[in-house]
Amino acid sequence: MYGFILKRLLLLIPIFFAVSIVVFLLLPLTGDPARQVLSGQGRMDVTPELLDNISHQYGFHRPLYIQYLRWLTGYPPADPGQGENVLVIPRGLLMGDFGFSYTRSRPVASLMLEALPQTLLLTFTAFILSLVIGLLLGIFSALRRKTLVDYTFMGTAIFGVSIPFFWQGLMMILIFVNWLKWFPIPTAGEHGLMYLILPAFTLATHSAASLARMTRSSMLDVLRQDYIRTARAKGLRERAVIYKHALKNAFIPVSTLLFLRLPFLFGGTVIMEVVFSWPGMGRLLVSAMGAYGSPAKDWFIVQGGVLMFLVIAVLANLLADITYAYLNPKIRYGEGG
Amino acid sequence: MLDRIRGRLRTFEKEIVITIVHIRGYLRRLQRSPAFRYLRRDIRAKVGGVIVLLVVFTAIFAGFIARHDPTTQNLSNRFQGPSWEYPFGTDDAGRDIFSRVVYGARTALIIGTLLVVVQTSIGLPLGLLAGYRGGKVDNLIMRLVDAVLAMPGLIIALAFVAVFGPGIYKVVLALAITGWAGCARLMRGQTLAIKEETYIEAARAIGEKDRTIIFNYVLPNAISPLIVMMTMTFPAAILLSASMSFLGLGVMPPTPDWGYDLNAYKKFMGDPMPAPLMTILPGIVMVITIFGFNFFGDALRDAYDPRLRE
Repeated sequence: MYGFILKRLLLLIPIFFAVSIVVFLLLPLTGDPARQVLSGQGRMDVTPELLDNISHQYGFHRPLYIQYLRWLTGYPPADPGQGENVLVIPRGLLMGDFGFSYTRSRPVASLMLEALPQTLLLTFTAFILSLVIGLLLGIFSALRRKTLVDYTFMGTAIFGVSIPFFWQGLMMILIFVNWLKWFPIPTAGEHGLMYLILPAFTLATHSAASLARMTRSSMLDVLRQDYIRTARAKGLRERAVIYKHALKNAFIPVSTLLFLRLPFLFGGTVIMEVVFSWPGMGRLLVSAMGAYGSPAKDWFIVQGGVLMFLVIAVLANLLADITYAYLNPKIRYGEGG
Repeated sequence: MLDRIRGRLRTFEKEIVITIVHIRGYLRRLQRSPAFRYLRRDIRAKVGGVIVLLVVFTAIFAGFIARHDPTTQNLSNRFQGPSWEYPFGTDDAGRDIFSRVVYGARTALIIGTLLVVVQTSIGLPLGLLAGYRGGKVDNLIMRLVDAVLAMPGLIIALAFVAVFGPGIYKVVLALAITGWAGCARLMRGQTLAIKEETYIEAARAIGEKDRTIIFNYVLPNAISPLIVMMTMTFPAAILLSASMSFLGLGVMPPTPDWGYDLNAYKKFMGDPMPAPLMTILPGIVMVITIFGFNFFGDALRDAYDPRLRE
């Protein structure tokens, strides 16, 4: 088991480098980084001299691999002799420096540090909600197969996977905020418990629905197995059969899905944060990406934000693998255990 | 000279007849197949199928169904409630919302269709290669597939649009960056399973080339799960592209798009009726569309995979 985890952890290193290269390339891919910085700052008076000046300040005139190395490790350090600005050249990702936001005039790392806990709070709440709702609906549907309960739950579930987050969010606001006035109007400054419930529930819907469907089919699959018949035949109570024998085995495929849903949840968070004005990473990221055709983009925030989301996704995937291996001894001993 | 043209025409005619016979034979076999018989009895296939057909019909004949031009503004006619003339009312610029929804269906289906084409043409050959060759090639491709599948597709797609700009085709490419991996994994699994079949062994024994085995034996037998996956791509594509447009990083005006419109209309949600209807009605159409595809896809999957039938 430990060998398996160690192997997976070692595999993280090349993945991290691959991801970091892709994320780094986002800015050079735009074609003209200096122009991006200027339009991000809202400067209209773009002259060739100004572009050249900015290019030197940010070190864009250097070869790409030097820029990447510097972005990652902070080496080589900024060289004022070449016109490089010590303030705006990052001291390296590995040192926790994501660069300096040229639209907000603050280090990206501190912006992200403010926003990340909010995103984690929202995602984690939604995750727990979807877990509880999804498992309960799935198990009850499987146990009451082909009854009204089953049809109602599964009908709800297929609607749950068909509703786009953003529209469901809008409808939640319309019904519970505008009409019933149960919750306060979402505003950017506020983020207490009352502001958390609606976005968390909306975010949980899709995952809960697909979890319910998965749990139901997995449970039905297990209930057909011989060992369940054996358990019943030796006179175990139905409760013991379901909770001790069936549920444990039905949970194996579900557990993988559970963690594989995490990247999806983080994708959904981005939309939820925008709809509900939640001050998290997603809102920061989308506003930095220059929505609605706006040229004002903040690429250092985009790079930092995308990298953060990708790293979280990779870690969630690792968690899924480990859980799966833990619950399923076949994998554990088969593969370098 | 004339004879030669006549001769060509005759062969052309013959080919058409042969094709028609082939198609008729295929349809007949389809009708007799257990999957089709299952579909005809399944309520999900009926409901979902009707919705899908309706949406496809709407998208193709948008010009006949829409009563007004979706982009014509009429400022003297703003914020009308639903009426016979304007089934969903009019928006803040006096445009007919129903017409915009109808044309939005076209945008959504174009994105779905293109995404299916693009991600299949990347994923299918890669999956086939991985499954058929096995060994190091398989290992390499599947490592990549696993890594891509673990990534949040929406965020990658948003980053792609931020770099390369908005538009229908860019949204399709942005979604295909992560979309191909699912197709590749499915195709690999299918190829691996089919490779073990006796008819492949027989084909090898009579000395068929790899190319013949792939095109005449593996592909035709892998087609049904692929069709299911293609069907399931539509709801995902509609959902994701609408989300992207809603965030302002997807399809841009003047192309009518459900996500973009809903974002434009959301600011009138706080106003008294009928203003909130501007977000409610188009949203319901969108949900029903996605639901229809999901429902139909579910039935299709069960029809092709007898193990899942209950």
